[in-house]
Amino acid sequence: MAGGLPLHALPAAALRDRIASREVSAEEAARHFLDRIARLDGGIGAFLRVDAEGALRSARASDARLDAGGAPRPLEGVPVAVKDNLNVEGLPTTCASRILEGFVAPRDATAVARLRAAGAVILGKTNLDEFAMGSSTENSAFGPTRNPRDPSRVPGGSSGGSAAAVAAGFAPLALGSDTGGSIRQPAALCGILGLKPTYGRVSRSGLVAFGSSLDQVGPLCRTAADAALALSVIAGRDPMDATSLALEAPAASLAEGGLRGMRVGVVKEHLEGEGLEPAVKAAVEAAVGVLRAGGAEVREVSLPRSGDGIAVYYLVATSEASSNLARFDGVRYGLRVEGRDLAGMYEETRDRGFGTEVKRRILLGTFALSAGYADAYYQRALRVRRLIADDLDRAFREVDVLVGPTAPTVAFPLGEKIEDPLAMYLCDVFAVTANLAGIPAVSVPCGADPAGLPAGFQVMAPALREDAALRAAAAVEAAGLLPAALPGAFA
Amino acid sequence: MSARPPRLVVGVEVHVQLATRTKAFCACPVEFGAEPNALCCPVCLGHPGALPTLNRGALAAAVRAGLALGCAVAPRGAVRWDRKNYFYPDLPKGYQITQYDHPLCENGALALSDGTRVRIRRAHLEEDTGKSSHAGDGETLVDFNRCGVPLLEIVTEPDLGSAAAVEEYLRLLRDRMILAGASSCSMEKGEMRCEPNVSLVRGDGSSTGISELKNLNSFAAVRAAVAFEAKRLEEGPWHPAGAAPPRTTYGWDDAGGRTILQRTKETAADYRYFPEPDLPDLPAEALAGFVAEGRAALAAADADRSAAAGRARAEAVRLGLAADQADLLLVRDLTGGRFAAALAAAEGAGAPAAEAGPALAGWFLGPLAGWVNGRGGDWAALRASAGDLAAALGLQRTGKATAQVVKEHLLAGEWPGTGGDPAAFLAGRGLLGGAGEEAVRAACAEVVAANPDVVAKIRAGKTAARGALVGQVMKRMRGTADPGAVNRILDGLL
Ligand SMILES: [Zn+2]
Repeated sequence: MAGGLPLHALPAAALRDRIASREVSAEEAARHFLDRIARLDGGIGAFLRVDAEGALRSARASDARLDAGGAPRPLEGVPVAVKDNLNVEGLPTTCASRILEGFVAPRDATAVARLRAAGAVILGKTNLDEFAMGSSTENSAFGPTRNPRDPSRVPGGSSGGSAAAVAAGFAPLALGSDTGGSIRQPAALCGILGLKPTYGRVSRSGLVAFGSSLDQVGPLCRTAADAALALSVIAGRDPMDATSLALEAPAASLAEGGLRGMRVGVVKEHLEGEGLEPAVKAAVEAAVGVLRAGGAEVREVSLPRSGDGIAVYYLVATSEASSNLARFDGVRYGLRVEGRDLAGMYEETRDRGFGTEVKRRILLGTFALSAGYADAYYQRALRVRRLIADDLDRAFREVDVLVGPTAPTVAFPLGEKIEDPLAMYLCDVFAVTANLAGIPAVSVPCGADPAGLPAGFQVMAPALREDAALRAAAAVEAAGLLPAALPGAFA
Repeated sequence: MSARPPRLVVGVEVHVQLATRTKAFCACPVEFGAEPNALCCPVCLGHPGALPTLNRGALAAAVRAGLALGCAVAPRGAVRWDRKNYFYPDLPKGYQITQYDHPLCENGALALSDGTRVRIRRAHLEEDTGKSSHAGDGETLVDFNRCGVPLLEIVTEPDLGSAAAVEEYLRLLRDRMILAGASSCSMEKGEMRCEPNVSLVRGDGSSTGISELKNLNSFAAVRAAVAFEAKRLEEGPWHPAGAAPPRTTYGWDDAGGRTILQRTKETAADYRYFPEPDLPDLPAEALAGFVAEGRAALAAADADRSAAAGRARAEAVRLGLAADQADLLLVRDLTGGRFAAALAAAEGAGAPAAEAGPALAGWFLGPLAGWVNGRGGDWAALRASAGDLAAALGLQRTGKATAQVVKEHLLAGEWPGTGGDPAAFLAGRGLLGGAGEEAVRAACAEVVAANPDVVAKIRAGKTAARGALVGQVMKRMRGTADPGAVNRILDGLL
């Protein structure tokens, strides 16, 4: 038996191997994680709902399968936490919003169904910023999630519940969604790894849409190898999503292969950006040093239109969101508040059902698409979006990956930015580029500030080159710039 | 006022329901008349997380339809989907998937019989909405069975100049859609919804507002509504040339025979169209296969129809049918093969073609068409079989039942809906076998006795008055008397 590491400190692949080799049963593993959640999540708030019964049922099914001599599947018995904007059959999908009150998902999201088919055990649903709109998980109708590294601070967002669950050892693997950094930024702030795949790699079927042309489902976990394993399970063509790419899922060995011959571009605008904390900058430079020392060829690369990213992102994402969230109208499911007439019912329902940030974004998007303004806002944003993608195409002719900080800061105290939407939006200034261009990007821990708060290193790669991004991330991970041990109370 | 009368200007928007087994963007079946909300799924109900996927059958049908209207398919190089955003309870997603500035088909035309070329601006694919109904207690109920059913919206230029031309265009359009196998265009089932835009223009360029007419459920209603509105608009008000005339929606009150104001559009609604991110653009190359298949299917349908028309012409000569009868029964096959089957049965039972053809044609286009139209217009309601109809013709040919009895008591009553032996049906009502000589003689005598003034006129030489006596005798005999016998007996009495 490998070392004395407790089950909750193991990466997903190692836990799966212990279950597959019958060192530990899937049921024991599930109970271990469920016990931890019951004991420790009160102070974190990572989960909105724990499905102990469902988890134990699937764990026992895994054990029965192995008992019967069945071949262990890629994630046999591995507990997984799912962001609560992904449908899990029979459980409520809340999107951390009051407006979905009472809605129970009739079927699994494709990514969830594929996890189950690979033997994973779904533990429950994790907290998020309402409809994935936010960067701190404070915009949840059911209360904030706290950062396991320092519970007075935010875990980032919007996949803050999933990131905190992995960071606290409540699950070795979690699913998140990333529209403008929502997997990578919380991974960075919680000191774990997060992968946003190429747009179209993973089916969006069953993911509640925020910005449909930007949204992508991806894993949060502890290692690059786990991210590759998870991607090999959840990716691949899905007839239920017309934008899913007609490609097989990549192999689980995607993160292997090292840095040999890799050309690394350090994004000048990201490293010289205003608001980048010195400790984050120093950590990122250390990671660049690791890549150079590992044999990569490092150079500086310019993405001149980086500065427009946030503006373009907030126009495209909010425009799409204003349309995507129109279905929450009180007519067929979820919350309904009666009004004086039909229009009154819509108004009352949406007024009480949506939180402030969601309303702000619906208004922004509605405005950006309105007759007389669409040319100046939405249409112009589409044109600049193409220019940003062109910048990246040019850069990727010279380098294999682009690197820099995932977010400008380490985790900030709860309440610090909640009254200042613009400051909050700038959390994703480096992250949105990958969503606008549809390319894959990873955040991997690259150190910590003097208070021990983690910094994230972002690796972007051309479309479908998750392998390059994960190989670079694996090299940074191997350098151990952030102590691997679970934080304080969660060890 | 201008000296010349104002010119009627009409353009038409038609929504045609494409003939597919499943909905446009999900796998739900398309059926008419199912239980409310029996045909829906998370996609067409707009559940969170559900995504649309294009039904390629709908695309193929839409391409065939466009080709049948002479349109260019995807002339802008790609087909794009857009979202049209608005709130309404029958619109589950809060937007309709449609095509805004890259329609599937553009620039077609249909030619009317007088040579008028009706230009078709565009034809685009979109999804239908659900159906709201307002219950008496103020509740609104919504049936989503129709929601997501594929529609083709076909928009003409304002090239139509009369109510008759509008009707001819619509009949032609329906004929093309049926030929292309794109839609069955049953107006009763809402598979073809027509909205004419009507205005008047004077010689000096001034015009009335544009009336958009809705709720038109038959060709007759379209024709009547356009004619009514054209007349009503003559009163003005008139707007100077160059000014954008106001658009107003009117519903058609079929019973009252008039249009009813629904709403005035003060400002154009802002639908915030934007490209549908859930459906990738279809490049023209991806459509090439559909276009090639569509052309082949249309050519085959045209060839079939020409061959059928040739056969029908020869058959019309053999049967001695009038051209319009042959067209309706043999070329367009209004009865779905029922005429041909009844004819075959009658010929098989020994009736000569030249006798059975005109007789059965008269039945199918006369009393039976009336019977079917009174029951929703679906010939499937006719349960009298080909053999039953041949037997009925046999009764008439052998004098066991008069033509009048067959027409009034057999073909216009309950028998078409049940079928069965016509002899037994008539016998049970005392209408079979023709009336005996004694009964006819008695009836004639009664009528002569009851009408001394008419008898006097006839005897004075006004022989035309004799028809009144024949009619009264026939009425007394409930049509069972042979008209020849009635005339012979009356001659004797007079
Ligand atoms: Zn459906």
